[in-house]
This record gives sequence, structure tokens and C-alpha cells, in this order.
Amino acid sequence: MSWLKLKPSDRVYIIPTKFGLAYAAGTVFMILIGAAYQNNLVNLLGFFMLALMFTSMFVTNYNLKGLEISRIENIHGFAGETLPISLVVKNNSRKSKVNIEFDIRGLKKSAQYDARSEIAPASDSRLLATFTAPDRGRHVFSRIVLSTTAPFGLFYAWMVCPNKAEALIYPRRVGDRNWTESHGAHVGEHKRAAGAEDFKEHRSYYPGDNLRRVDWRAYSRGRGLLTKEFDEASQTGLHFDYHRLQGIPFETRLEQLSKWVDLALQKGQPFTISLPDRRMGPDTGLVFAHRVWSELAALPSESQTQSEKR
Amino acid sequence: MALQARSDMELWDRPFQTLLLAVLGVNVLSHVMHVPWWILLLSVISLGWKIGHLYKGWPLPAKRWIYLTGVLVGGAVIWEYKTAFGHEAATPTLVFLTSLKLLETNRDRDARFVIVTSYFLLMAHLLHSQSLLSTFFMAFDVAIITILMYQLHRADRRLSGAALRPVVHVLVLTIPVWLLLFVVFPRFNLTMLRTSQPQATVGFSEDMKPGSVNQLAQSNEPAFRVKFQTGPARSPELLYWRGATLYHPDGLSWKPLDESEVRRRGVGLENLMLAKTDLSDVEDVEKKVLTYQVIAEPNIGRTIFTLPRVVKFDPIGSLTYNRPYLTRDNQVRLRNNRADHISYLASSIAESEGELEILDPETLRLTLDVPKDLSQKTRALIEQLAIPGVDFHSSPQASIRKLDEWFQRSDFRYSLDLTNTPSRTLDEFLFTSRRGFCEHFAGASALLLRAMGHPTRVVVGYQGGRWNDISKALVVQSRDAHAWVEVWYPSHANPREGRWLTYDPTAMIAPLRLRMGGDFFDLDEEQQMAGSDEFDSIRIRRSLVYRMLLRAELAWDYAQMSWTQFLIGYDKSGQQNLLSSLLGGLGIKPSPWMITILIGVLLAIGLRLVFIWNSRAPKADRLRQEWLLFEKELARLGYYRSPMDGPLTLKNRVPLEDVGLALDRYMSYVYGKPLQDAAENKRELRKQVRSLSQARKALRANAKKNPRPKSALAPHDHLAS
Repeated sequence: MSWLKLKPSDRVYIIPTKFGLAYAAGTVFMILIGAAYQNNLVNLLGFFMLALMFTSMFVTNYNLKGLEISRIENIHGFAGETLPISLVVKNNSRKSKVNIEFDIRGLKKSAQYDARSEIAPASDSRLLATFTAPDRGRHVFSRIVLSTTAPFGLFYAWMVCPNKAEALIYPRRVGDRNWTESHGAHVGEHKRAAGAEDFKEHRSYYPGDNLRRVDWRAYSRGRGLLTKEFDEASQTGLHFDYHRLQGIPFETRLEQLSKWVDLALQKGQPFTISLPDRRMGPDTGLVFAHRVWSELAALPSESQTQSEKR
Repeated sequence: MALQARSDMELWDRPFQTLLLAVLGVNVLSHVMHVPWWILLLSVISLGWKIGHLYKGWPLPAKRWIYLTGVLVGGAVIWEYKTAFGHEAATPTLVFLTSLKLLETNRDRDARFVIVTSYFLLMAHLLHSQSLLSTFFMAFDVAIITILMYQLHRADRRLSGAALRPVVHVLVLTIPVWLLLFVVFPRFNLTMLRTSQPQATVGFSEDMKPGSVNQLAQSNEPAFRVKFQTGPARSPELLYWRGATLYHPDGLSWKPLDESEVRRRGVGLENLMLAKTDLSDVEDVEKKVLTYQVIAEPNIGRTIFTLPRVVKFDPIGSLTYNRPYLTRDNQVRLRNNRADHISYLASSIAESEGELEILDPETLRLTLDVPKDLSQKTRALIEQLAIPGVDFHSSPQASIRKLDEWFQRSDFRYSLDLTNTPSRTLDEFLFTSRRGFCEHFAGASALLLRAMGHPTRVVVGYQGGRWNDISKALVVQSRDAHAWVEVWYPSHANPREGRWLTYDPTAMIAPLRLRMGGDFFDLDEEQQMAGSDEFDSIRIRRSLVYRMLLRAELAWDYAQMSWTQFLIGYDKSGQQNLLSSLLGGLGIKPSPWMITILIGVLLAIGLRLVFIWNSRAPKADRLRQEWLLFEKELARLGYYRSPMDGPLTLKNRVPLEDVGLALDRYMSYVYGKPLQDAAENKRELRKQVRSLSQARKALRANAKKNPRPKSALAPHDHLAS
């Protein structure tokens, strides 16, 4: 009778949806009208609605049973921007699962993709959703929720998965578009990118990539998220300095640096950068940019720094 | 951002919209009979527009026009029904507004609105009819609404058998729950919540005009069905189903008393209980009192059909709450109009039995009233027929005989076809055409008998009916509508007391009309005039196919009646009876609430087990199972496989030839090129399983022969070596 045993992590919670409440109200009304007109066919209809709610409650509940999150990718993104998060859900039961969504408590969800497709028994499926990224820094989300409203949208069932998701949120990419010496950036030899950009190759999508460069056509063919790389004229010499950005708040400084790194990356210009505690570069390219952004993200906030000093 | 969630719009493809349209169309069209024609027309236009939009790309109207039309039509409905409340006025509004809503529907939320309103439209339909057909319609409608609800939550909204399997699965689980709920869910009475009563627009007409029977004679629709329970067998032609008693003549037309007059003269239903009419005094009750159950079709009005001299009346189900009452002229009436199926149990005593009635002065005056404006010719006829010295104190028998003789002598004929020889007025009928149907004869006879001094009233209702041999019930159809006369027979001892007895002038003119009931109208005019004794010789010849069809019709009629009878009868007391008979043997006094909760809990546990069973982990495939057993067997011999080892490593470590061969085969199957053909693949898999299993058995046999010390190789020892 091992199939009777339930793990505590299998606990599924359920509440009616708005539509479910309307449906329940309709059911009650139907039964009242049946009693008012002493009409057994209306009763029969009311009882059907009641019975359908009763069984669909179970169907909705058990649509989550046997599901587990088998993989969550590390989450990177810029504060305040849209944060796509994808995870792999495995179906360990004998029934197909439909209409599975996920949510991360503590994050504001903006959209869910591919939720209405089916997860076959003993197989897995990737779910993708976008959220609004939180403030800069390292975050750990321990309440990842799988939910469903299948099959009729009358109930909303959810379960909290034991998985944790780590997110490294980079500073916002805002600030002055121009880099000038007075603002902490040295401009060395500066050559503008000449000529049209030529497509070079595909590489896999990395959070923070310009979404205009994502090859949506390839995505729709099921090749996953790919970013198009272009041949860009190589650039030289730039230096961004945290220490020279004075007179503005700490977080704003980081945001400005984040913006400049982004601009330099877009222009393909190599750069060096001075952070409060280290110096990086000169280098160019996406990997380097992400290393820089990760350092910016991991910097302790100003209040923390001050309390440490004390 | 460029990444777009699949929006509602994308999922609203044509098949889905067609399904939505079908659900709504079915529900709108089910109200053809119950909504004003202009509402129906507007709804069909709006549905048609949507179809045009879907398949021909017609542009949809702007939202402001949709809203404006909605408001205008809503106003028109209030104007027509004089109210905005009650299901009478709500149904047309709902029908139209939902059709209109479809023109701007393109979001999932709108589809949910359509789903909920479809349920309400269905409910409104069921309030009008509890027939078997309506039940089938409900089952069908509920199924398509459920499919629509399911489709709404799928990414791929194409319909196919496989796609619908989950919804079938849910329905299969739902149906037993549904039926159990229907049986055990407690019934209660909320009839005080009714907001309005149906408007009497159609139905059995309670006054009598020449031609009204003619219209009913065209229709084969059943009016009601009767199951006889106890009492003497009576042939259908002797059964006069009284509907309304008419007192006021106006030429050939007759009118009933005003509703207020009737109510004033009403005596209340409690008088119909056995206490008042004590049947125990009557000798041979079984021979004189006929008890019967009537299951009546929807018919808007307050009329209840019973045989003459009702002594007992028991409403069943919903009718109880309509508080029927008995009138002075022994007519059961409803306090409110009804528009649904009803059922009741009634007992009638033979006309010549039971207590004598008293003729009060008011009734005497009413039933002797003759219009002042009779023509000279008619007055002359009355003088000719009247027997000197006869008045309401004397028996009308002699006068009736004289009247009958005069009808026969004057060559009166029964005819429904009055296009050639119309008898619109009394004089025309009596002296010129001398053709008419039951209303003419009943109306004229009543008037003449009154003039001859006998209290007389006209009764309209049904006569006879068709015996259904399968259901053992009498089916009374619209075409059995009839009109006849009741005449006062005073008692010898006290002329103020007496009885009202049926006198049917049509019986004399066209005896077959009574003998054959509605089938009479299938005869030609010559046959219609034949005497009753010729009944057998002129029976209409029917083909075999016709007889078979008739048989099927009777069976269908039986199914209809039984189902409706069950639906009406299964009320609070019906439920109590069923539960008592089911559980009485256990010595439990069943309470529906208790049973409902108990069954609810049991169902919840049952369903939970079903679903837990369904969500257990999938079985490992046969080969994998066999492989695990094989590994275990090797481990018993001391050859442990660490998670990082593949079959090749294992093969190199185990010096047994059989094992090596089995592993080779296993590897070539598992890591080799997959076989394209599914059947071949299956065969090969089975072969592999057998091969591994044989190798395992060989190992085991070998181990028994030369046992090896277990400590020879501990797990993971080989890693160290």
C-alpha cells in the first residue's frame, strides 16, 4: 500500500477561483429556484453543478500530485526590469498534468508562458514566467509554488515546493548615457562602430541580453532562447571609476556604473572598472560584463558598510 | 517586451468560437416557444452576425451600438411584461442580452459569462417543462457546457476524441455523485420566493365559442394522462373530464363566472378531505368511487380536470403549494396560474351516488337565465317544446326526450367543417344550417332547456381519451376537447335538493364521437353519422407500419408519463418514502440531511482513494525491473555495481561467460540504434527481458552449486583495488 503514503511536501492547498465562486453562487441559486418552483429538473441541474464542483475539486487538487521541480536555473537580472525565470517540472505520476503554473512568493509575476500545455506521465517540461525583478543584491526565494486551475477553472490549487531559487540582481541600468571624465569615466581612443552590424553566430540567452537580439524565430521552432551575436568593430580604452563618482548616493553610483558597462558592452568597447574594493579589466564581451555586474550586485549596501565600519 | 504570453485572443480560434456559438445557439433556440417573436428575431440576427463574422469576416458593430441596443431591448421587455422582475420577464432579456454579448466577446472572461448564462437559460427552459425530451436536452446541454468550460483551460483547443478523454473522465466520476445527490439531497419548500405567476396567454380556454373545439381537434398533443388506481372500470367514452362550468350565455358563446365570483363561491380544499365527504357511509365504495392520478402537461391557467362529483383531492409535489380549492360547482381550481407539469390524485363518486346537493337561490337564478334578445323564431320553438306545468321542481327527463326527438326529426348533423355552412348565430344553427359540433349542440341545448324551465349549465373539458395498453393509462389529447351540459334533477322528496347530471346532446347526434374520442375526426362525414352499433364495421383500416408506429408512440408515451410522474412525485414526501423503504429495514429513521452529509463524506474518501491511486509513481519498465533483479543477483555473488559503472565495466569484472553474453545483448539493445518499427521493438524488448532473466537464473543455479564466501568482495572494494 505504498501508494497511500503521502510525503509532507505533497500537501496541496485549494481555494475556489472568482469564477468558481460565481459558479457556486449559480449552483445555490439553481437549488433555491428548484425549491421555489418545486421543479425536480431544475434540482437535477443544480445537483449536477454541485457534483461537478465536488469532483473537479479533486481533479484540480490531484493535478498537482506527483509533480516536483527538478531544476531551477540561477536567476540574474537587472533591478526593476522584467526577470524571466524558467524551471523544469517533472511529473512522477501516471496521469498527464495540464495547466501548471508556477509562482515565486516575494516576486511580482507579470506573465506565464506555455502553462496550458500538457506534461505527460513520467516526463518533464520547462515552464517559463516573467517577474518584476526586486532590488539589487543577492536573494534567496524559498517559497516556490506550483499551481493549477485545471480542468474547469473553478478551483485554484497550489503546493509549496521544497526547492530554493537563488537570484543575483544587478543594479538598475539607469543614469547618464555619456561618459565624461568629470563623472568618473576616462575616455581613451574612441572609435565609433562603423558600418552595419553583421550576424556572426548564435549563443544561448543570458539574462540581461538585449531582448531585441533574441532570435524569436528560433525560439518558436523549439530551439530555446538564443541570442544573436554580431560582428562589431573592436573598440579601445575606457575606464569607469567608482571613486570619481562623488556627490551622488551610493546606489545611484552603482546604477551609473551598471549603465556604462551596458553601454560599453553594446558598443563592444573594452573597458576597465574601479570598484570600491577592486579593479577589473581591461576586457570586453558579455562574460566580463556579467562578472562586473555580479560584483556590483554582491556589494554590501551602504548601511551595511557603515555598520561594519563602526 | 517582445516575449508575449499566449493571449486569450490567440486561443480564441474558430473551432473554439464555434463551440461557444453552438452552446449559446442551442440555449437561445430552446426558448423559441417562450419568448416574444421579436426577441427571437433579434437574437437570431445577432447570432447570424457572429457566424458571418467568424466565417465571412463581417465587421462587428461598435460597442456603443451594442450597449444602446441592449438598453433599448431591455426597456421594450419591461414595457411588454410591465415588470423587470420574475423569470417571465427575465428569460427574454437574458436570451437577447447573451446573444448580443456574443458580438463583443473575445476574452476568456466573456466565455465564462456565456457559460454561467447558458446554465440560467437552461434553467428557464426547465421551468417550463419537465418532460423526458427536456431531460435529454438538459443532459446534452450540460455536456456541451462542460466541454466548453474544459476547452477554455487548454492551450490546444482543437476538439478530438482523445482531447476530450479527461473531460469524459471527470463526467464519469461526476454522474454517480450527481444521481446520489438527487436522491438524498434534502428537499425543502421555498415557494414563497416565487416572484410572479405566468401570464395566461395560451392554454385551455375557459369560455366557449363556436370553433374553439375545432382548433383543439387539430392537435394530437396530449393534455393529460390518467392512471386509474381503484374503483369500477369505466369505458373511456363515459369519462367526462370537467374543466370549467359556464353560466352566462351570449348567443352560441358561453362564459364562466368572474374569477372573483368563483372565489367567493369557493369552499376551500380542506372540504375535500375525507372528513367532509365521509366515504365510509357509502356502500360498496370500490364500486362507486373511482380514484385516479392525473399527470397534466404544461398548460397555462388555473383549470384542473376531474371527473364529476369529486369527493377527494390530493395535490402532488409542486401543486400542493398552489393551494387548490373546490368551487360550489364541484370544480377544483388553482389560486395561481401554472405553467409546468402537475400531478394530482382525485376520487370521484358515481354521479347518481353520494349526498344530495342543495340548489341555492343564487344558483337557481343563474342557471335559469335566458337572454332577453331571443328571436321570434326561437321563442316559437321554445313554446313548441315546453311541456306545460314543468319547472325546476320536476324532473327534466321528459323535456330532454322531447329535445332529442326534435334534434333527430330536424336532421341535425355533427360537422367540424363549417366553411360551407357556417353557424355563427343561434338562429342560423337552429333553423338554417343545422350543422355544428359539440359546442353548438351543448350551447343550444342548454339554452332551450333553461327556457323550458330546467336549471342548466354548460361544461367544457375533455371527453374520453385513448387507452395506452403499455402504460395502462388513459391519454387525453387536445383533440378530445368537448362541451356538454349539466341539468338539475330535483329529488322527489325535497325539490330544493337534487343532483346535477350530465346530459350530452352530441351523444345523440353523433354517437361515434363519444365512442371513438379524437379518432372520430379521422372519419368522413357519412361515417361520422353512423350509429354506435356500427362501430366495429367502420373501424378505420390501418396498415402494419401504422400499427407499429402506433405501438412505438405508446411506448414513448409511457416513458414520458413515467418520467414526469417520477419527477413530480419525488418531492419531500416522495424522498422520505423512498429512504424509509430503503433504510427502514435497518431500523434507522433516515434524515436526508444526515444521509447527505454521510454520503458526502464517503464520496470524498472514495474519490480521494481513486485519485491517490491514479497519481502513484509510474511503473518502471519491464527491462529496467529485470535489470535491477539481475544486478541484485550479481551483488549476491559479490559483484557490486557502483552508480558510476556501466554494463561494460561490469562485464569486464565478472568472469562468467553467460553473464558476458547477456550483458553484450543488453548493451547492444539499450545503446544501439533504436528500432523504427514499434511491433519489432516490442518483440525485441520481450526478448531482452527473457535473456536477462535467463542469465539471472543461470547465475542463481551456479551460485547454489559453488557457493562463494560473501566476504570475498565487499561493496566498492574494487574501487580501492
